[in-house]
Formats: sequence, structure tokens, C-alpha cells
Amino acid sequence: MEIRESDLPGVGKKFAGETAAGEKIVIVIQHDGTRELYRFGEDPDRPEGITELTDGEAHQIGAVLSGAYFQPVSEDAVLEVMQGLHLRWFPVTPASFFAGHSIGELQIRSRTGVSVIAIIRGQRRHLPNPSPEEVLEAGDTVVALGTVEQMERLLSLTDVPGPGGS
Amino acid sequence: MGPENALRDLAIIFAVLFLAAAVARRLSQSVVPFYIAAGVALQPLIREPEIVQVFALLGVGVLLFVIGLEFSLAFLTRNAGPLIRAGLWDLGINYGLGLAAGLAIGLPWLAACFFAGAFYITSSVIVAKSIMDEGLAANAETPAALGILVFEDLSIALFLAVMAGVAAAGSVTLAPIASGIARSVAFAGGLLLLAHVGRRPLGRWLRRADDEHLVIFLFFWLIAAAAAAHALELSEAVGAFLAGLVVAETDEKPRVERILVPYQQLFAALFFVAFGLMIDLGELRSVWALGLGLALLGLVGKVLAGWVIGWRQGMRAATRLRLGFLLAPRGEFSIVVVGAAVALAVPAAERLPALVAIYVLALSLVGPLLVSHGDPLIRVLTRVTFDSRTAGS
Repeated sequence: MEIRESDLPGVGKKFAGETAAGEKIVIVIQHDGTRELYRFGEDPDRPEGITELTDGEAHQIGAVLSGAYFQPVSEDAVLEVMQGLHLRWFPVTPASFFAGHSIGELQIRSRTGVSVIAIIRGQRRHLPNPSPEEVLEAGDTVVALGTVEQMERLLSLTDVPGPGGS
Repeated sequence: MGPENALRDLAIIFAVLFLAAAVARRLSQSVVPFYIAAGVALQPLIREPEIVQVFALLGVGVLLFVIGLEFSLAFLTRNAGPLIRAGLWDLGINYGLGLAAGLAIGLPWLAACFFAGAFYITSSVIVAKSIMDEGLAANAETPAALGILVFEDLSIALFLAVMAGVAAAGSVTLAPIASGIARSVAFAGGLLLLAHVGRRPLGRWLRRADDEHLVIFLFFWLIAAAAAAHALELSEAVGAFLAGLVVAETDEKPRVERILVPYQQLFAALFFVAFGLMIDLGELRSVWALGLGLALLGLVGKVLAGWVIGWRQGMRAATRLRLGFLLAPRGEFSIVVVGAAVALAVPAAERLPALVAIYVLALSLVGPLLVSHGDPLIRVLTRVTFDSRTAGS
């Protein structure tokens, strides 16, 4: 989806995009951090407001939308959060470099620059912001945030199966 | 005059302001007309109207500073072409109508020029509030309206700078206009150069300063700039606007905005009250019908401008009308212009406050009402001017 950004002087910034299903969505971020969500119905000039979120609420909902808590596809998946910043899901296989080690032991951040922002364990247990002591198990899905280069550095360290590079 | 009188007066003023703000909130209207009405109603109760003058001066300073802060040079340069075309249509139609109306009601040339400025200029404060409260941020007419406001901010700053020179010279001739423009460009250039040279140390200092220190610095900076502009025979409003423009170029803009909002709300309230207090009640009674007629003309002017600008930008009929309605409210800037005319002792300027008070009161109430409840009117107007099917294409 192409997202067009524009200024609204005195109000904030506007982000407009059209989904694959042809629905036009607009998000306005006001200077005080308030987010307004709109979708366009019948009138192309006047959208229907969906809701208004505080800065904190927007972060929470953003994390849910980005799949930090629950990601239906367990395949290796990449999402471009912003230009150059990627969110990636790594499945931990029994043969994986990750399995049986803690995040701290693996020194993921200092060696690659990638941050592990959540671990998805089984259907129900999600560990957002895991501590360095957290041991990764086979069957986990690791949610990591970083640039393309950082992700490639991580991939070069591992024998994670899946499409090489991104 | 003793401190007990000052305290007594301020207590009464804030009590009435509190009620005015409560009523405005209850009716979900802008506070502007209610604060002005509060000032008018307070006249018999206040023994020392001078005590609010200093606050009112600070109100102009902080208002213009915040407008400068939110003014985006990047936005202006990115959209220069369409923005200037739209702004010139608005300026031509509304300043032209204002000038004609001013002369028609018997104002001398110079006073008519000031009146036209007050007639033309839309209230950024009220429009921004309408957009947030009514959830118009994603509407098709909103970017055009905000672009026009950016143009108006700049044109009124230049207008005040030029007119201060013209009023000092006493006549509308080329020399004071040219010197006003030259002095304001030199002043703005000097300030921006200073800001550019000192940007890194300033940015570093702003980052490290705690909120308490920052507030004192900001008030020093905006008042010093206003005083310098005043000394150069530019309007103090121009100085404060440019001071805000300089801070807008630093990374600390969001924090500065957050810190200044309460001061803006407080001092702007006193600024509107001070305007209400200076209005002559007898004059008010004799010009109210004229003021309402001018307000109708002011509404027609903005709707016409919205229609032409929207038509040129390919908007549908209903959206063009909405653009006009959104731009209709007048407020703080009209009062600043009148205040400047009175302060500069422009001949016949004493007729302006009451007239513009009625004008601002009417349009600051009717404008937002048309935005929130104008749909039936828009349907009628689009049916009258166009067949609804062609309007919808």
C-alpha cells in the first residue's frame, strides 16, 4: 500500500492510503500526539471518522496491528514499518541458532543491531519486550525490529530456513 | 488606584471569564465571542481598565509567537504555486470588498485600509478549533483552507509592518509603503540570520534548559523581538511572529508549543476582554445594524473566495461552499489590526472598535455554526446554482 504523507499546518500530519480492497483510509496525527482515524464512504470529499486515539493508545493498537502480540502466519514474514525499518518474524526451529539459548547469551543486539521486541510462544503465550535472560525454545516465533542490513547480519549468523535476505 | 482595586478588578474579570468559558464549552462554540462579550459586559464593573492592558499586549505577543511557531516555511515553499494563487484570490476578493465597504460607510482612506485588513483576515484560532472539534482534518477542503491561512498569516504580518509606516507618514503613498516593506524584510532577515548563526548553540541550550528556564527565555525572546519591531516602527505583532518563526526552525518546537499553550490561553483571554473593555457602548448601540450588514458581506466574501478557489482546484460544488464556510470566522487578527489602527492614532480609527466588535462577534459565532450545521444550506445552495447531478460530477 502506498501511503502519502502531507502537512496540515497548525493541525498536524496527514497519512492517506488505499487498501488492496479499494478502501481509502486516512490517519491524522495532531501536534499533541492525538491520532484520528478516518475511512471514506460514499462522499469522496468527506470521510467518516472512525475513532480518535491518544498517543499511548495508538502505540498499543499499533503493536497489535503489527503483530507483536499475535501473528497468524508462522512463516518467516517481513513487514516494512517505516522506510528502512523492518519488523520480522523468525520461527525458531530445533536446528536453529536460537534454540536453547537466552537472548543475552546470543548477544543479538550487540552483534547485529536487531532488537527482539517480542517472543510468540505457542497459541496463547506472548512475551512482549522479553528480558535478556529469556531462553528461546524450538517452536517459538521471534519478533525482531531492525534495518535491512541488521536483519541480513542476523541471517548470516543463523541457519534459519526461509527466503534468504529480504 | 491601589492594589486592592487591581485585585478586585482581576477577581471580577476572571469570574466572568470563567462563566464565559463555561457557556462557550456548553454550546461547543469558540471562546472568542464570549470573551469579547464578557469584556463589554464588564465595563461598568471595572474601575481600572488599564490593568488588563499589559496582559493584552502579552496576549498579542504570545498569540502571534505561536502562529509563527506553527508557520511552516517548508510547507509554503513546497506548495508555493497553488498556495499563492489561492491566497491572492482570497486577498483580492475580501480585501477589495472590505476596502469598498470601508469607503462606502464614509471612512477616510487610511482608516478604510485598516478596516479592510480586519474585514479580510480569517481567525486561525477558530478555524483550527473547528477542524479539530468537527473532525474535518481529512476533508477535501481542509488542506486548501490551511494553505490559505498560511498565506493570510504572512500577508497580515506584512500588512501590519507596511501600515505602521504608512500611518506614521499619514498618507497612503509609495514611499512609506516601500520603506515599511524594506524595514520588515531587513528586520526579518536580521532575525533569521541571527537564528542561523546562533542555531547550534541555541538548539543545544534549548535542549538542556529545564521548563522553568525555557519559559523565561521564551518570554524574553518574544517580548524583546516585539519591542525591537516597535522601535523600528514595525508592528510589535510582526516582531512576535518572526520570533516564533525563528524558534520553529529548531528541534525543540514541540516542547516550546506544549509549554506555551497555557500562557496563550490565559493571555489571549485577557486580550479579548481588553478589546471588549475598550469598546464604546454608545457607539456599539448606534452601529450594530451596520456591523451585522458588514458581517453578512464578510461571509459572502469568504464564500465567494472559497467558491472560486475550490472551482479552480477542481472541487465539487458542496466542497467549495464548505471551504468558504470554514474560512468565514474572524477573530484575533481583526482585533490586532484595529488595535494597531487605534495605537497609531489613525484618523477616524475610533469608529473601528465597535464596528469590528460586532463584525467579529457575528462571524465568530456564525462561521463555526455553518461548518457544523450548514449541510441543509449547502444542499439548497448547490440545488439553486447547479443541477445536483452536474454538481456531483
